[in-house]
Amino acid sequence: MSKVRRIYKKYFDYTTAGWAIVLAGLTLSVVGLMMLRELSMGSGPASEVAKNCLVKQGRFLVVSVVAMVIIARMNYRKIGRMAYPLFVVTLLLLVLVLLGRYVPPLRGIFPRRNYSYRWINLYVLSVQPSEFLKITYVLALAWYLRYRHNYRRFRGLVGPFAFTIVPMILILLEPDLGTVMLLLPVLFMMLFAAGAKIKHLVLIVVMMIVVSPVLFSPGVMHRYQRSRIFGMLLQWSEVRNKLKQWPEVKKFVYSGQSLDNWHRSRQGYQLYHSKTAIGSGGGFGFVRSGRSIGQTDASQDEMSVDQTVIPEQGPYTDGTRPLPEAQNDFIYAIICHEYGFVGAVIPIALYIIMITGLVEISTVVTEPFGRLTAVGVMAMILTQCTINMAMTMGLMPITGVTLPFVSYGGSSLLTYFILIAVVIAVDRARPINMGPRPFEFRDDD
Amino acid sequence: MFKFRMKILLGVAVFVAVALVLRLYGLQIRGGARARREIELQRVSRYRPIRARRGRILARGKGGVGTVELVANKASFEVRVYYPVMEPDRWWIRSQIRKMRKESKSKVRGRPTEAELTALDDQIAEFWDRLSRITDQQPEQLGSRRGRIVKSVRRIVRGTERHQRRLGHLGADDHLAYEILEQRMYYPVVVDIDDAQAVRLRLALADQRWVRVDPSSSRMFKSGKTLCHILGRTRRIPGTLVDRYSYPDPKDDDDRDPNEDIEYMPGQMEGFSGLELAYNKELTGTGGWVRLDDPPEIVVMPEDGEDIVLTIDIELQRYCERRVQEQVDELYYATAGAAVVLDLRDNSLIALASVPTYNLPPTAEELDRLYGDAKHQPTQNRALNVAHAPGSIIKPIVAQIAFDLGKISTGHTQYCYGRMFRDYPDRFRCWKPPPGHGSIGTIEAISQSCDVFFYRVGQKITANLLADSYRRFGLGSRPGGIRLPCGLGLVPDENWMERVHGRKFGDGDARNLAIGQGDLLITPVQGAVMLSTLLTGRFSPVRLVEGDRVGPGVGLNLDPRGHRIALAGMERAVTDGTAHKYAYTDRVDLAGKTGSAQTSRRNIRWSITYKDPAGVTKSFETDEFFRHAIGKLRREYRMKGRPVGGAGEIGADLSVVSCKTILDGRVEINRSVVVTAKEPSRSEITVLSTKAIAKWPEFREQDIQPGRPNDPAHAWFVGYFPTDRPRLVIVVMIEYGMAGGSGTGPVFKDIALKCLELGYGG
Repeated sequence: MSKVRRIYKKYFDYTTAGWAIVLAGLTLSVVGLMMLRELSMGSGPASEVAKNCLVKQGRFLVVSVVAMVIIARMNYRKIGRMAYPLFVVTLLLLVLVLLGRYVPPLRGIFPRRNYSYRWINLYVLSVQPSEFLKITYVLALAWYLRYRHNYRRFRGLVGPFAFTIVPMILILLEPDLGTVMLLLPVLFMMLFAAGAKIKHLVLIVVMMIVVSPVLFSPGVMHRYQRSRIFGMLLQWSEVRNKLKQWPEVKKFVYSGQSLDNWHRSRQGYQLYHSKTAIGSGGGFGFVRSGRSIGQTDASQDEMSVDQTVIPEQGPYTDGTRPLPEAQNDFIYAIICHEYGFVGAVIPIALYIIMITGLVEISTVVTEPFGRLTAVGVMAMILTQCTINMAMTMGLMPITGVTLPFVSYGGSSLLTYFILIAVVIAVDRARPINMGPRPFEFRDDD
Repeated sequence: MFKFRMKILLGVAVFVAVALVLRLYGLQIRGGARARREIELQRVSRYRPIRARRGRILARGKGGVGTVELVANKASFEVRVYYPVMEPDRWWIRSQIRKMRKESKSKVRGRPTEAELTALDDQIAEFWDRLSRITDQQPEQLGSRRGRIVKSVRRIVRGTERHQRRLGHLGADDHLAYEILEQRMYYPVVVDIDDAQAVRLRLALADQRWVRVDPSSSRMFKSGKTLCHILGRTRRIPGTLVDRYSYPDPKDDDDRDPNEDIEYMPGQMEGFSGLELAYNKELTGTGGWVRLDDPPEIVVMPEDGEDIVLTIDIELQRYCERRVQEQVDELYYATAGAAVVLDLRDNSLIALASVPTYNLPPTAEELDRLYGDAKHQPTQNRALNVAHAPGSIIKPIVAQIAFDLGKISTGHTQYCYGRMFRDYPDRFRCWKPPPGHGSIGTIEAISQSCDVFFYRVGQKITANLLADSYRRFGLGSRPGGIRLPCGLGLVPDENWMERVHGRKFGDGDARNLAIGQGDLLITPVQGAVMLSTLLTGRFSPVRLVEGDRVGPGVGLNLDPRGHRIALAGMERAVTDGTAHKYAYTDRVDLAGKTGSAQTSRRNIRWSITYKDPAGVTKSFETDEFFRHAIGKLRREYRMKGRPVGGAGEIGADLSVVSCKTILDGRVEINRSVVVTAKEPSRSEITVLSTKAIAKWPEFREQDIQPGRPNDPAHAWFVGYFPTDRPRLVIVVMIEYGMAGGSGTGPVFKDIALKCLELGYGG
């Protein structure tokens, strides 16, 4: 190891993109903790849940940072060599999780929650293998693609797609539609970056679109799943009114009975409340933007809890309004609700910083595995943020996808810190400029 | 190329970010005011259930023209109290404390203090006190009512939890972390208030929180005693039964199936018995929801329940009930009776009378009396549910069956000595003492109701075949299209014989079955179905409600000679047979068959010995139904275990549950709350022995015939008219009417004449 290299290792360069990524990630995690605290301060019963989450999330953050430091100091090629075995292990875990579904006595270890089997219950904590798949998938795919060129031919794409289809099927059986939706965009972006022919990728997309009506047919897809996907369209009252005239289409698209009741139905409930939570945040948050409202006499009140208190928090954070999975999938709606437009832009900005940093690393690093890993991580974060945020705003169908770094969820937090740790490990091996660095003047000059 | 592509990917990211920011701008800056307004609406808006109007029960008018209301809805008022006042929960207590602080401009923050909680307790106590004074209700009455409501709502909460657990939303040991609608509703504590009273109460309660006087509706019986056995009653859905209904949860919209379930609406009524229960789904309709915004908006329209129209002709029904009652009164031994009129054109029941009748709705005392009357058993529906041995009315059917099976043919005769075996004068006698009917043919045997003839025919057919053939005539099974609970009667088969008597069918059984005795039991409606099957050659299900779809029935392929002979026998019975004296009229050709079914006597008084919870052996005598008496006894003892302060089991306990205890966590909300006083009452009484000490009927001296067995008998009459083209089937049964002809013949004739008068003759 050259002398310069040793010096570089000793004095870590604070100007590299890795630091920006870490800082952005930590900031986002802190924002997540803040929101959990906000939720836990409410008076409603949901606050008890949030209090619990806050403590757990804090512990997980510490664990994640430690894991990040350890992994960031490793040689990323060694990690790469382990990519295949790790991928296989994750697949095996996914198979194990499915045992809960098909072998009911094992549900103590592989419990069912919200109709799906995603967890392994280790009694101290429960983990989601599908979260860790995100790491091993990116690593394995990068390892697979690193020295190949054949994916520039159409037949060469079979390999990468096989990499994706197997875990997709396993996760679909759980079912965890959110994670499934992540894998394909990541694959496409990695192939795109690796230089696959655009016409091939477009062709595949077209083929998928052609096949998709089959998936929507009644035998394949459950009515409520189908209605979830179309549920997004129903947020507009024009669409709903139009649908009333077409009962056949309504039956296909909407799983409830009366469209007037859309915002109370399973399809509309979450989206309605999420949009209302976001919208009511206004410019600077619910409390600062609209303090005067909400003071009504409710002595005749039948349904809701007492209303006469001056709000110190928004109704979606103080527990009086229901927003299911507020601490989890809909945490972004809570941010928007509590801090308004100004607060809502900040996470977006942080993600952009993070993604820019990842892009920078991928362009600077010349080693193919490292480069593809950085692209994969970037794609993962970009896709998941987009899906989560767009879903809370009603731009995409609602699927259970968390917001990276922010949402409550130990596995998810750990996963993303490990992902950026791997990229930092890649970044540490970036080629060194032998010449003087620009703008770095010695004081005596 | 890589760098270029990475730039594109970065561009995509930036594009997404811009799109998201634009959407945020649209939602928050431009749509912010609207969303906040939406929240405000949510905060002030209350969803209130709109109950669907329950459908009415109607009957056909006089002569089958038009309709007449039997059960309708009556508008009234009721005083309703906000549920948290009955059972405070922690969320409500906190909100009340906050309100109190705001009103008194108190600077106290944080957990409610002891003084505040005491103040709230006092407020609640004062509220109940005032309510009892204003509404003139005893505090114990209110307490009992309140106890029942609380109990019911808790059950609903538990039911909701079970439902959520089934759906996987709730863990096995978790409980609901939110209050359900039922816990935020107003419940009626004083019901059936008229307009004037309502105005008075409204004024008196105007400044009172937590209570209001609301319009409501109750079920109104317009028919008096008519059809009291089948109309049935309604009740508010009790908490235990909420599981039976689908539960409208906004989050579980998909789980509803409009075609399958009745949706549960808070405070909804359900059918509890009779037609109200059988047609509950049709009558209920679906409830709606109104959101009390300004102006109020109906978010789900309620759909009223359907009316159901009975095929009963109300005029004929009233006449039948009156006429049968007269006859029952006239006959010394008779305890009850029934009359069924079946219209063969569409196989609908146009009269279904059962006496004794009672007033609807029966009060608690009345019910006690009804259930306690072991001699008359007025709550039993004699027409539809109670089966008796049919006696001789089965004989035309036996003749038909014998022809179908080729056991007899035209010209078949038997010789009747007045008994079947010369050597055994006590066994298998004919009703006509020796020398009997002499040589007798089939038609004569039916019209004279010769027992010996049918003993022999039955023996030829054999019991097994006979029982099977009876089943083809609808005996032993439900009479088709009636959704009410129907008595099945009994047609014994091999298994039954083996189980009950421990032997196989023998010749004796065949003989008994052939004259409608032995183990055979039928209800009057089954009698009507049986005769209509004979007349039309087709077993068709009967209808009680218009528009009910009933099956097409089964053709029986009857032997035409047998058919002619059986009908001729019945015609002859009226013209010069057993029925002639009582049922003949020259105004219309009637045909029919009498029946006197020997039966056992009924226990009407018991001596009961029991051990009370203290272990002391006691005994008493009672006229009431055995089970009813025991039930009353148990209730009596359970009352003793209750604390002072009202009949309500939990209502009384609740007085000791203050808001403070709830907040301290000493009492768990939504779980099994405070069961203190109930425990001592759990002790059981043990019945040591029961003995029947009186039977009905006890024969009067003048009715005892020397040398004959003096068994009581039920009187039957089945008949039809006009004889050339049968249109109506009439069945009359008088319990302990003793003789078919004299007991039921006149009633049959009068009902037939009434039908004629109402235009059913043609």
